[in-house]
Amino acid sequence: MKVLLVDDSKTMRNIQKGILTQLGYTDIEEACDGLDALSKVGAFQPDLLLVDWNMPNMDGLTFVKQFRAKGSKAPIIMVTTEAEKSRVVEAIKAGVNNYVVKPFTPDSLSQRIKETLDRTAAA
Amino acid sequence: MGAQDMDPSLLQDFLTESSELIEKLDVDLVTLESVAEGDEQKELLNSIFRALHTIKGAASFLGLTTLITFAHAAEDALNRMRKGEIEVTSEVMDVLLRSVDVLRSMLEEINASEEITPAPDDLLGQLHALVGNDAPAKPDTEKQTQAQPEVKLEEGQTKLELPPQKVDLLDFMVSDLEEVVGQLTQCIEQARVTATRQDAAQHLAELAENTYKTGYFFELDDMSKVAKALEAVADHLADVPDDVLGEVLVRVAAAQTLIKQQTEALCKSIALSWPLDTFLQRLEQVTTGNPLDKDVTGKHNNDAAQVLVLDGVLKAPVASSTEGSNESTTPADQARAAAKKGGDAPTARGSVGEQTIRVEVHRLESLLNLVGRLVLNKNRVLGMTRKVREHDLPYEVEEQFAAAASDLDQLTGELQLGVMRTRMQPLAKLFDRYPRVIRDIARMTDKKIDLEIAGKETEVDKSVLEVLADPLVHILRNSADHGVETPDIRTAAGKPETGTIRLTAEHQGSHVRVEIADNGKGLHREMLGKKAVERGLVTPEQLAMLSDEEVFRFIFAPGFSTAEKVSDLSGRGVGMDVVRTNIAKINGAINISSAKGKGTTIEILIPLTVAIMPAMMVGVGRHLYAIPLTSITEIVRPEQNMVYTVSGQPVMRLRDTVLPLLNMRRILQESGDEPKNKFAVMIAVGQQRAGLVVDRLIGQQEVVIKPLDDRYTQGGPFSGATIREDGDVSLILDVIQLIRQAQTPERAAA
Repeated sequence: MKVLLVDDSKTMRNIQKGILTQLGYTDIEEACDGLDALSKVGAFQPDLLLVDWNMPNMDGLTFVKQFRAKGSKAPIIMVTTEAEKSRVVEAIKAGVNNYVVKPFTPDSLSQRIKETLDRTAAA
Repeated sequence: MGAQDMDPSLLQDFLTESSELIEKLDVDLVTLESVAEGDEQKELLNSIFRALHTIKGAASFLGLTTLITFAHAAEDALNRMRKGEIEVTSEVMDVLLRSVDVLRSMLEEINASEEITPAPDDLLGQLHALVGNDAPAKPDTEKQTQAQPEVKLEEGQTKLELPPQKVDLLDFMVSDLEEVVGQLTQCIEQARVTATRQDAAQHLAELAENTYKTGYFFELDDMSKVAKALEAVADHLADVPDDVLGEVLVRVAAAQTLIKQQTEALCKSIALSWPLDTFLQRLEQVTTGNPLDKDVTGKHNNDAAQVLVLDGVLKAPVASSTEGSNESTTPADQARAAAKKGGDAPTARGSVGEQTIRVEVHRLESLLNLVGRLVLNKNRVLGMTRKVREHDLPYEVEEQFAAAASDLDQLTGELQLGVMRTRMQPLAKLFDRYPRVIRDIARMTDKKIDLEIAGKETEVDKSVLEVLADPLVHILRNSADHGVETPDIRTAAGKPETGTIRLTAEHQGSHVRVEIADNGKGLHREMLGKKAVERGLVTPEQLAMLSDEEVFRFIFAPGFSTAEKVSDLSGRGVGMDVVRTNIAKINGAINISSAKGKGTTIEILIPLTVAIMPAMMVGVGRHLYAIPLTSITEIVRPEQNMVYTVSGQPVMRLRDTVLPLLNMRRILQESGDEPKNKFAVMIAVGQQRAGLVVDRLIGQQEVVIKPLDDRYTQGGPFSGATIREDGDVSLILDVIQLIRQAQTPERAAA
């Protein structure tokens, strides 16, 4: 299970990485913004992406649109804040599969990942 | 998840990252105040918002509640600015800048493992006032537990079992789907006209794709199927023959009806399912240009509801029809849709992020130390090459040794350069803080001051940067507080109301030149002189002999303040003393020039490197001295007819200029045999040049600078010492000091 973490904050990536490791996901790649992520998805071929919304250079939404435009089907979980929630609809229309509101607990993230993967497997 | 569950390095990461973000916040906020409304302002606001947001986001994971609460309040205020609901005014900026200060001190408290002091109530009050509510925004945790009203399910209806975070979005989704339904009506109208059919196809593709993804996300499988079918319609719409077009469009309208029904059901958390097979099959058939049987086409009277009944999707009668959907598309809905589209543009651009890793400074320090020792050893090896040649060794051995030594030389050079470069940092790190400093002073003193910054990309060694930080703040504060006049005085003096302080940095040979120039009232020779006499720094007789610059220099004397009243900002007389000592510590020089009523310019010259540098070894008397190579412009053999004496000072004519000559034997008090033919080493610092008369030239060498105690370097022409390849110690000549002596010959003689 290869997971790509896209977040401009190193702290945030480390936190997410910590949680993912606790959950048993160890094959993790990091990207610091949408552009960086786009450049990495080709080689890394992630099975799951955790994408922050608000990032410099290319935000999460734009990244998701471009990633989907390439025909990639890998499930995407958008990481948002309470304030951004009203905009999640845009992200859904861009093709995210689920979202999780910061701050999340290992439990809630694990739950989201399970939901997302179950649903992708069923489809 | 609290901070205690986290890896301690996470907290450190957080602190480092947040501190950097806060520096950026400061800069951006000050810039924000000066840019006009428009794209640049918008971009700045976005960048500011993002920085604050990142801090808050990470803090929430570390359980730093106090910090989050405050960051949240500030973020709310900024968000309203971003939306254009609050104007950028000085008062608003005061509040925001103060907020950044509070955040900074909170981070410092975390760093020191102290309890976080909650933000002052008055500041919170101001922030809330900006947002327009008096109470802090309460987190909406109750939302998830809101019980959905019980509804009786009919055939084809299932209760949506969604995870809470998805349920949370239902409201947004419903309004979004309502828009889709409205836009489908437009789409159908457009598709009827050949000219706009292509547009309609594109529009339909978008709507269908959005609906499909929405359906997928909310697990509305049948609606997704309908949307998927619409995507197929969009793909073929432009090619559909006219005779089946009506058949296609009535089914698009039917699909719209289904989406509308699902939208209404969604409000009650109900998923609809329909027997779609016939409908989808027929839709596909007409879409690909194949007419349906006459008995199917004739019966529906172009009524979408009828189609659905005929295709077995719905049981007759159905309440809603396509016409009904027209009404739901109010102008307000359309406006909202348009607004949404506009807001879709990517907001985040900003600067390209640096690809960096963080290294503790002491690791770099020890690396630099090792390189320094390596350079000394390399010098020894190079020295041995010469010895080897003198001994009778086989040619190959000698050659191999020389080749190895020369490789070592080159590699060491590259390594050294590399290590030095890891320590170089742009002056922007300092300069970026100053707009805030000037802004605050201007606000407090009711002055109008522009700070112009140039050359902030100039890189200097980290240690130089650190030493420079305080002096520059002091000089700038002085310029803003004492130099620049209040607007009314300026206007009265016929100057523009807004004063200007120019901060420039540039490389000049082996030095970096930093200049702070203001167009304020300038220094007052008589007043400074009077003060200096009062303090017993000079006698009135001596004072009369001093040049303007020498009088101005008194401002650097300890405890010397000319400000009539001591303010919070400057004028305690400690500042400028710090300037002098700090700059002297790194072998820098300060020059002052000032014209009454026109302004003051302070020039600081600091050496670029502090640890290792290439030098020319020269012999004077019985000793060898090092001269920094980057200060040397050329070396000449002065002929007798080129040297003159002008008012007691030996000078030399070199091409079309006349340069002062310094007799190094006399300055260094060297004795010993004096050679007949001497060399003049021409040095330059900035615009100033001089020639050093030395006995012998030894050669070029990398020297590792070993600092000397202040007692030895103070006033003397030495900036440090170095160990030569033969193991002896040589003093490094201080080029800045020597040039100053050349400019003021009467002192050099003293």
